[in-house]
Amino acid sequence: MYNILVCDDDKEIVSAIEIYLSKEGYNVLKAYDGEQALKILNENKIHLIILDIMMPKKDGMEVLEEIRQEKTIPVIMLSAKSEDEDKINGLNLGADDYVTKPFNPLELIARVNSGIRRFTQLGTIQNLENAKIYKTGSLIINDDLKQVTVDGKEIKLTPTEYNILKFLTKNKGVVYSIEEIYQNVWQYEAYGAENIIAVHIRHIREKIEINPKEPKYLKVIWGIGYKVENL
Amino acid sequence: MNIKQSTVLKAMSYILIPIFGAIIVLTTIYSIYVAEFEKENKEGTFYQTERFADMYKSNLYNIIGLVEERKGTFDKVDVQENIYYGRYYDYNYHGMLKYIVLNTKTNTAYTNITVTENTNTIEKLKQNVKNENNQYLCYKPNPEKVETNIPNEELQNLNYVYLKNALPDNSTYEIYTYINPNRDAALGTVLEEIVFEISKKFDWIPVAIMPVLIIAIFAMAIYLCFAIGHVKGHEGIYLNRFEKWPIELTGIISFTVFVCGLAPTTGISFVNMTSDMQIMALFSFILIFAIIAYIALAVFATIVIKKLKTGTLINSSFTYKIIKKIISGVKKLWHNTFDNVDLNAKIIIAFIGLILLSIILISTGGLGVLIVLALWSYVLYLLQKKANEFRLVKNTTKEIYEGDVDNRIDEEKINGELKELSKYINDISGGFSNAIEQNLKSERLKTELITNVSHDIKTPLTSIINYVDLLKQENIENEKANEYLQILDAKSQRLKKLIEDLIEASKVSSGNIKLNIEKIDVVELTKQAIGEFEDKFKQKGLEIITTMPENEVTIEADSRYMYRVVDNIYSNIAKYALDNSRVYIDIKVDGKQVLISFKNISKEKLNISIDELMERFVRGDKSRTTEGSGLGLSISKSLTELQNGKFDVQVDGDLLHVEVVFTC
Repeated sequence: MYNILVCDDDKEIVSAIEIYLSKEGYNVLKAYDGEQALKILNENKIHLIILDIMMPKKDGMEVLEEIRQEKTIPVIMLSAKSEDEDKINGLNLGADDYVTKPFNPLELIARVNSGIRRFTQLGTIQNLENAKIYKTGSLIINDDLKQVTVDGKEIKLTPTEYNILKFLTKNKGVVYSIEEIYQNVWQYEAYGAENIIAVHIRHIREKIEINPKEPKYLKVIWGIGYKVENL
Repeated sequence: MNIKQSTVLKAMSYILIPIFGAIIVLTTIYSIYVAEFEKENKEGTFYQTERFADMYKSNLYNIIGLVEERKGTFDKVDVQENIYYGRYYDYNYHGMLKYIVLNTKTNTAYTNITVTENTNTIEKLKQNVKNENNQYLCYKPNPEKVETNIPNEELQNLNYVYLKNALPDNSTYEIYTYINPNRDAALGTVLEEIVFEISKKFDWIPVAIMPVLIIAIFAMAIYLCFAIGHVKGHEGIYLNRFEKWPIELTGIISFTVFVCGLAPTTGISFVNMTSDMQIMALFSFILIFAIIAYIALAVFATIVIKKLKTGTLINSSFTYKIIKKIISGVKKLWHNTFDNVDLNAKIIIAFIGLILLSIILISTGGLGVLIVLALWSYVLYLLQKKANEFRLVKNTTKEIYEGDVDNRIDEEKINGELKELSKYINDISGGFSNAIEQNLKSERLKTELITNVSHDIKTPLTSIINYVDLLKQENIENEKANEYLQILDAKSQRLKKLIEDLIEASKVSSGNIKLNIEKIDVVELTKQAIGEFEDKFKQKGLEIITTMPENEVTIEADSRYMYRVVDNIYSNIAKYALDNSRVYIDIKVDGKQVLISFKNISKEKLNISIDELMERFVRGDKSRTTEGSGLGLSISKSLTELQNGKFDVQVDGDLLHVEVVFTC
């Protein structure tokens, strides 16, 4: 049973989140301002926090800063502020994730699951020393088993998708154009049918990313190519 | 202590400069005098000089006066004839001159010749004078006659009147004089001789001392130039009340004192002086006045230097003030007379005036023609100057017109009517740039307002979406309720999309975004985007037909915003294209231009104008019920333009043609 602290000054939103998370089997603690959140955090063992930014008394950013002074628990910021600089600010201050309002409940739950898995299970999976393993962040490709896991959760990929993802993860951080990916994965010259690569990559994104429009691992550099982020 | 403020040093300089100066001048004069004497002596030409004549004449004059005035003091010599010996009047100053003044009426002689056996009668005395070895000169009044063996023209033709003035009327004096040739007559006096002898021995002294003195004078003068005006207890140059007077006033006073000091000394001749006492008195007199003159000069020079140092020499002068007054008066008169005159009238007046002036000047001929030429050259110069000013006004106005609204015409460089015009243009451009600034500000405010309001809307919307979702998860048996829930779900999702688009549209249209320009490949981008929309196109049975170059086509743009442009166009196609139709996507490179065109057949009748289509919140079917906010094309257009591209929409029947143009 994991304890999740949900903190937002809008009581209805907190209640809705509580309903969703309870269904997933989490124990939810509720706070309606920053000070309350910090107090609960000190008194209980919390595994993950969902934190609003615009709140009375102490805002989410201040709370985040105080949490990060002593705790490493996952923090998901939840805010109506959807500007890039807001997201960058939050992540730089130590948040693990940033969800904008209005949010898709399924996405929020997926992010909570991912955060909890990363916090509780990761680090124990490194048991295959000799296996051929490619890894970035919590995306792990075990080439011996032809197995892909994200946050410890196994992902089913087609052989083509697997080859593309393996190639990009092997060369993480490097941007490849459609043509280059085609030549490297298929091992012969592209002759026009390589358009299909873009579709494959979208499919991979839809499978491994929580929000394919804002990918964490497989990034699209529009007009240039694709890359797997080196995390 | 600051050397510049030393009173002692300054006083010393003021005193030493004239003393050294005087020494230099006198030494120089004396050196020249001696050199001339030496030369004349060597060549034996001294007796022929005018100077000698003057000296001799003046001596004659004085002797006669002396004898007449002081007869009683001559001693009667114990000889048979009446010979009086002027023991005490040996004429020290002109000692070498021997004389006999003979009164023919009484047959009495006055002389300074020592009486011996050879000279104890008047006749013997006369003979003694007219010795061949002597340089003699004798004067007899009745009839007037000069006898001399001196080779001097002026003495040979002696003016008798000059001598007569010294004698009482109808006097019967005869004068016999001679210069002893054995003595160095050229020097005239023993004193001079001694000085001359000494000076010959020490003639190296002036040569040695002069440079030292000259250097000292220069050093002191330079020191004074630097130090003048620096007074203890005052910053910078100190001018007292007297020194602040206009320079003309100071100049007049100084000049008056200077002239008064020098005037008495002009016309004074030492030659006329008969005694040492007199000469001493005169010398003192001259010295005092010279000192007064020097003080006047020094004070004036000091004030001029001080004023130069404070830069007030010209500013504080009467002349400057008067000229300034006159100029400003003339200017005022000019403005009063001509400011309200129409420009055309001005030109006519100037034209007629110039023609008349030219005619008059040419009719005077010669110089007049030259003046006319100069005048017209000046007119040409003025016209060129005006043309330059006009060009400046024109160019600056053009720059303002082209968008540099902060530009201003430099009014300093422009005169007259154009200055007025420049002022108006500057005012307009000032108002213009103000308006633009205001506009930008209000755009920013609008964006901020929209963003803030959107944030406020988002929070309740979150609850609506979440609870609709939760409600859907409840097993509701009522079919109508389920139908209503579906509507609520769709509309709340649309509201969410609307708000997101609204924020983006307001940011983009106010230019309130940061661009990260890099080189991107349009072909790659198009392929990537097709990959993204493949499912949606397939669902509607849309066939995508692309025509694009094999090679990459790079443009400079922001990769993310460029995708937003394409994303909006593709969404538009996915939403509004006729099902099971074909969509044409072409990339063409035309010289330096990259054209990306998207053609599709609209599902609905396109019954509105392109302008309306591009306006925010308007969609093809004029209805607002289907998905989308209607902001898509507007956002794409704004984003394209922000990245220096062109975004164009054309409608031909049901054919919608979107064209994006970039330069590569």
